[in-house]
Amino acid sequence: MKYARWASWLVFLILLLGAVMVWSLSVGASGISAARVVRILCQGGSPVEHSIIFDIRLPRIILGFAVGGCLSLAGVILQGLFRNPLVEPYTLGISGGAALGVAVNIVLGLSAVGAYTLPVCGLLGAGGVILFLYVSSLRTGVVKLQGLLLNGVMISFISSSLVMLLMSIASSDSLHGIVFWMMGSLGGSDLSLVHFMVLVSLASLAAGYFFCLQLNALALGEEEARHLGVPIEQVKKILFVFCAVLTGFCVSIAGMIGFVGLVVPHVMRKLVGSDHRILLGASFLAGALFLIGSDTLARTIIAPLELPVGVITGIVGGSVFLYALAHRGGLSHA
Amino acid sequence: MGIRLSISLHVKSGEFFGLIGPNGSGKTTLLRALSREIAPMNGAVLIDGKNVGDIPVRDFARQVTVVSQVLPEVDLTVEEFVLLGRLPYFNAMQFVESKHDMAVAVRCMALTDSLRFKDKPLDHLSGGERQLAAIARALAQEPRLLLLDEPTAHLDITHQVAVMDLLRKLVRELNLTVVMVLHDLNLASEYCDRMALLRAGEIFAAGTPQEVVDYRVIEEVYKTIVVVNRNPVSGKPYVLIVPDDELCKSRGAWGKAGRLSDGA
Repeated sequence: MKYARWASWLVFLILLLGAVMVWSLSVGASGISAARVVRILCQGGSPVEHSIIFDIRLPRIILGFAVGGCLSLAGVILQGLFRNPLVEPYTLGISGGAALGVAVNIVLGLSAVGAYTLPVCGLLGAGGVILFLYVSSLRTGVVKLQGLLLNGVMISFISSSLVMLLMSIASSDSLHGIVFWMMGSLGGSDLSLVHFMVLVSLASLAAGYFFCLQLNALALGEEEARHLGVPIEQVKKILFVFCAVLTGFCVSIAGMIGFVGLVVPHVMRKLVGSDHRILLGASFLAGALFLIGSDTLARTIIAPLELPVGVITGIVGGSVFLYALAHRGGLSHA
Repeated sequence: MGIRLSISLHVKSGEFFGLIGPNGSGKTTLLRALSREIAPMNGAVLIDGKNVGDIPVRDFARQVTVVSQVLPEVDLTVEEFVLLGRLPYFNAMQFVESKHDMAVAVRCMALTDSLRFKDKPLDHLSGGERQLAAIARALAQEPRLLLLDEPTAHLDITHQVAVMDLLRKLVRELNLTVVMVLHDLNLASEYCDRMALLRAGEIFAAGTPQEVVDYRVIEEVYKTIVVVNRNPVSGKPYVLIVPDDELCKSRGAWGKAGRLSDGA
């Protein structure tokens, strides 16, 4: 009975994802009807249409799928780990490190060397933060999760202050670049990076499933999980690093897109329940379609101008969160 | 926590063993050492001669299980909660409970009389019902040793007796070994085969309830005047407290009559 419900949720989400993708492909400055979109995907069309669909819109959508899925996955796992519904990938301070890396890159003008340097610098910044957190909180025998959280929040503050420092001494071009990157965008990414992120996202989902039962046990509390035979110190370390690296990749490629990792897991938890066997997959799919949908709105709502996708996810995500809080009488226990 | 234990204890298989003692005497610390939450600085905890520190985590979970005092707050039904107890038996690629797992869970709920509320969410249960559900989950792990930390602390006498009767039945029928921390001396005396009385991290007295629940022993450790009588139904010793004004009132008449631990 339970498994039938889970299966129907997954089917529903996959269909919804497909629908959102087709909608996103059909919407834009030069509108192409949905029926035409499907025909172009299957049989091909005029060179102009082909270019619009395959070179401009599809990469964004695929990147949205990957980043939305990864951020939600990281969000679910972190909320399960910390048993705190307010935790999201960005709380860990990793996005702060990535932002710092990118800011340094822009101010020093390193992108002259190649477009690749931007995500690489972001990844280096994120990696630096992960290393610091690992050495300070994870390396010792017992992982104190609350300490980790506090360290992460402090690093966030310090990084954003440093980024503001760089912004204050930067030229106006650099300033614009930094701010724009920080607001997050799914567009303008190299195709190979997009493919890379898709592989990362699918691999992460598979990897995450190895821990779904242990996350279920962890929901009872660390002591209870230990009594059930879960090697919790090991699991905490592995999952934290896993989420941190995933966040690092997402932030480096797409900038800071907040709220996806916070709101989607929370909403899905209320809809499908707390069992991670369904929650991981459902959150991944819901995050993917949420981000694709938000990105589509972002690029059409004030066309021909483009809003940063973080604006939509922030407003929609934040509103949904407040609504859920008000109507269900409190945050769900993670 | 700051307590240093110096313990040498032997619990027999199939025994219902009680750990009693004043606050801060180290009962919970000892239980945590038995459940491998803390490791001894000197010496070892052995199960059937094997050091518990050497047993892999999952194997240990199949042999020893703990019923904690504080029950978790999660939005699971009783049945889902009990099924979590089967986790140590899942193999690496298994995601779904097998038929055998379901059968074990049902059997455990039947044993603990929790089958009747198996679809209720945990937070809709009363304290007594949650305790039964927690014991069912512990039993689902099919352990040989069950460790309990004051499971009856917040229960009314109906549920206290229900839980203790259940545990005794499990010891007898399943040949389970139970080690239980108890505050209630009378409950311990009534149900335990043997007990150990701790004081300041050491075993002050160990043995049958008749040996341990002796007025001299209790007064020495708990530093309060008590009278020990015999339960007219079961014959086990039970402890009567003596309030201060009673003591002052009947100081004289008391000298000979009230004190007994040997003979009616």
